[in-house]
Amino acid sequence: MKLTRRTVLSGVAATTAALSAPSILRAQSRELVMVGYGNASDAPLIAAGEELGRRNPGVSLRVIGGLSAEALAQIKAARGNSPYDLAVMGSPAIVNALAEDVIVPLDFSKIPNSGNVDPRFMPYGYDVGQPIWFEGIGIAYDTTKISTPPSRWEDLWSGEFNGRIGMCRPQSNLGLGVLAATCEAFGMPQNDMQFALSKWEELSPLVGRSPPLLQQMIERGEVDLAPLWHVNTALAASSGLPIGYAKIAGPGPLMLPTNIVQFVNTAEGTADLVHEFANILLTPEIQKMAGSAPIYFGTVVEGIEVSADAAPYVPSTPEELNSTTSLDWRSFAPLRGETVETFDRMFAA
Amino acid sequence: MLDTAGPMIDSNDPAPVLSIGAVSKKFDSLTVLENCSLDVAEGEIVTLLGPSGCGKTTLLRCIAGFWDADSGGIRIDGRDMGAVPVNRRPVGVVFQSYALFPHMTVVQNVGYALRMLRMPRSAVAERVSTALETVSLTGLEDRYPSQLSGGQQQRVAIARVLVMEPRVLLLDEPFNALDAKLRGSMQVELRQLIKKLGLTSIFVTHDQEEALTMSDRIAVMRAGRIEQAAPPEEIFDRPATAYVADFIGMSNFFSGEAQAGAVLLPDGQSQSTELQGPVKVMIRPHNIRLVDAQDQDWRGTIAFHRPVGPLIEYHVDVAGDQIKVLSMRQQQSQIYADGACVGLQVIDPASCSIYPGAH
Amino acid sequence: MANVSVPAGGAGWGERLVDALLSGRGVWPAVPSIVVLMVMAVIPFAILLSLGFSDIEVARGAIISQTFSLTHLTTALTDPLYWITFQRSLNLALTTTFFCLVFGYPVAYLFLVGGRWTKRIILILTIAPLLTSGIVRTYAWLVILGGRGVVNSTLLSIDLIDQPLRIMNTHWAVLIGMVQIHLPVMILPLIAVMSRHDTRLVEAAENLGASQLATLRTIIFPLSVPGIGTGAALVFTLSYTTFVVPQLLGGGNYLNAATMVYEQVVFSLDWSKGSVSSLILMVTCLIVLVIIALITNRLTRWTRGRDA
Repeated sequence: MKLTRRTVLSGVAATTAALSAPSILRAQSRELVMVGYGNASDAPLIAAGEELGRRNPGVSLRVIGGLSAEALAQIKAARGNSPYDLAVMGSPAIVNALAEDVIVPLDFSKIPNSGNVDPRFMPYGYDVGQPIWFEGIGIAYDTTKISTPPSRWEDLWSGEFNGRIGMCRPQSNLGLGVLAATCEAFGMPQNDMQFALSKWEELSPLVGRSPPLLQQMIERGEVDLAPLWHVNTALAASSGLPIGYAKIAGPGPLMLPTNIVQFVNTAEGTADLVHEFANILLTPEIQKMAGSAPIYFGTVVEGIEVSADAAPYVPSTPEELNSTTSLDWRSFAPLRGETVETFDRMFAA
Repeated sequence: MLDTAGPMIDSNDPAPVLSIGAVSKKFDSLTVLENCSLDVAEGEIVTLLGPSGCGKTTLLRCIAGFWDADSGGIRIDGRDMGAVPVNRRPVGVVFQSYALFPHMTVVQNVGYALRMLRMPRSAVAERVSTALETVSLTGLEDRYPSQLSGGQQQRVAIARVLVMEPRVLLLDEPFNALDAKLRGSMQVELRQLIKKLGLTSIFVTHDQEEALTMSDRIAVMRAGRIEQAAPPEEIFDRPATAYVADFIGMSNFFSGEAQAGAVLLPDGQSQSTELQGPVKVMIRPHNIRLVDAQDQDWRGTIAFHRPVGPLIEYHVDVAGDQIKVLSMRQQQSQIYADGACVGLQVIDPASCSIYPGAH
Repeated sequence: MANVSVPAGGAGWGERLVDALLSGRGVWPAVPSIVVLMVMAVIPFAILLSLGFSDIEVARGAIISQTFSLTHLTTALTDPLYWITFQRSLNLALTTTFFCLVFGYPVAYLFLVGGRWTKRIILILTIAPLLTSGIVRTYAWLVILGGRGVVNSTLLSIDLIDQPLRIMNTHWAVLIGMVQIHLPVMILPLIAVMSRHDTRLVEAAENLGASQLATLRTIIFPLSVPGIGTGAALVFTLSYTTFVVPQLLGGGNYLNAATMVYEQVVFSLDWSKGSVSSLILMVTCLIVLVIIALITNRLTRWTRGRDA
């Protein structure tokens, strides 16, 4: 074939048509695209999506795995033309997303099941997101090396754990949350990150870049203990490794709600589907599924029992349930970038 | 037939510079050299001539030491080279494509061997400029090989080995990379240079013209063996084997029968021989004369003719065989046209070569 | 927005380019890739760059105002954290390049002098790792270097050490991983350049009295300089801009330039900072590449005038 202006131009035209086809299909079949976890934790989301499809023929849900932070960056890169309709997002990420103005507040009157949610969780949606479940922050530890795990945050500074402890880099919600909890434990304002970092410097910790990498460091025996999501700890323990989980108090047990949020610029009619989807997530069926093995999310709906195998990870006794608390994410989430820089000034090898 | 080309040096000649003694070499099961022996005298240029795959390059590489012979030995000035590594042999090689170092200037290329000897800078410079003068390359000292013509590259390659004053110079088809027009003049020039320097040389080629121009002696090789080693005239006039006769120059072959010490030539004359039984007779085209067809038993018709310089080449069709004849143009009163009926005569029966051979 | 105006009357280069495009003088087959490059690389890069030199205001995810500002650049250039980080990256990339050369050159040399099977094995061993992703190979190092990894358990079992060495999450782990992962990128251009040269050059050198070592020093090495230059440039660029290996092997407190850019863009969502960091990354990378090119050119003057 001879390459001429005509063949090239027609080729370009054909390619453009081919590339634009999926978006045409997407518009016709009304597919909701959401940012999920990218692992087994997506199961309740997928189940709820199927239910949504049953109720609204022609509608389907595609769950794309990835960091919510990366999704925010993508939306920002798309200049507001969000490739996603909705996402699961921790409270601090909501704070950051609000700063970027990429979230459309949910109308809670369109989510009837929202009324069944334990009122303690609702504020963490910051009036824009619907809390659907929560993850706890506690201490994961190697049971062969630590007989009595710490029970309060201050216990970490007993001197016993120096050089044996791991921490998560503060760009993650986990890392940031642990620093805030440290401030709280020592009576400082939760946003005094400088104070928290210098406290942690005393422990000469080994640093994991992300919660999964910190989980792997415990699994490989590089650290004996580390603050970790209860979900990651349960995952590590489920592979048969001698890993225990301590729900730390003072403040605590700590939890971070996960919320459904809706992004800007979604197509006409999508909002109704997002609300309906959030409502389905709050049904007892989906909540039970999320709360049981192997995911063990903490449920936010009142009256859902914590299963026995989830009890080591999720607040289950009355006093645990009563003392369960979270952090003032709003006060320190905007400090994320700054805290990372301070961290690097102090810790970078 | 000569079994192998043994030493062709008179007994009162001084000891040979290079002595190749019964060298054999195999690659896997393929024999590439078989019992090759050759002595080369001081200042002599010997050509290894043969078609590709005859082993001439292998023999050259064995002399240079790139490859080891399986058996037999190579001696230079009486010293066995078997244990002498490549970089210690008093041998200089001019490679087929010259293998000039592309990242070195002419001066650096030529001085390379001296630098390897850790000779002082001033001495290197002096010998390099002498060598460059010898090959008439002054003025091009700082050029890189890629900036030189083929002829200039060849001269750099020669100068590069000259500086190390090798006992034996090996030239591996040095004219291959040159265009045809340049070749002829370069051959004469190179021969004169080598002769002036008195270098003992082995020259490898597949081109008989080159061999005839360059050599004091030609060793014709075939399938790993040396068929004949002799001066060019002898090779041409008295080829030792039918193969040599066929390979060098034009030739006509006839089958005959040797009886009582003589063979009958096609034109009725006879030539004496020691052979008995079936033989092959080779007559060079210039040893045949065309005459009038009358009274001639040996005759045919001209199938083709063309001028070749001062000569005319005829192809005469005799009972289906084409016989080549070369005649001087001036001496020929008559130029026969294609289709003319002619008779043929052997000019000098003694110049015909006779080889044993079946029908 | 800048308006490109073609000088009236005379045929400016712009006009000539348009003319050439329209008359299709051999350019047409390249047009799709030029378009893709423009859309995928040049335009986003220009946008990114503009972010580094402006203060931005966003609304509903879109930038609504952008005002020129040099503060991001000056802040970065006066921040010791940037200096330390870029120094570390540069140091890491240069050491990686050095070790890749030290380990890669003998392999390439072996390829040059080796037999058919040696050549095949070297090629397979060099190319096979490229067929798996860098992340997989990095994870393999996690397994090897970890506290319960192959290295430590071997050293422990032969009583050379009584405590596992901490190799993981150190500069050394990153260096080891980087060298192994980028080694093929050094070896392949070396092999390509070295095997392009006539083997007769080596024979000629030997014939002229050079020992094997002298041949390597005076012939093989100088001729392989273009390969070294290419390999070094590739390895340097890849090591200087990598963020997978340092993230996985360096631990959470190992910061290099590319990781810094990634975190500024994705986690801090501070694109002006990210843009400035990537600009510094790119400019410093270019400077080193130019230096490598200048050195290579200087050592390969003989390649010039090849067609003369």
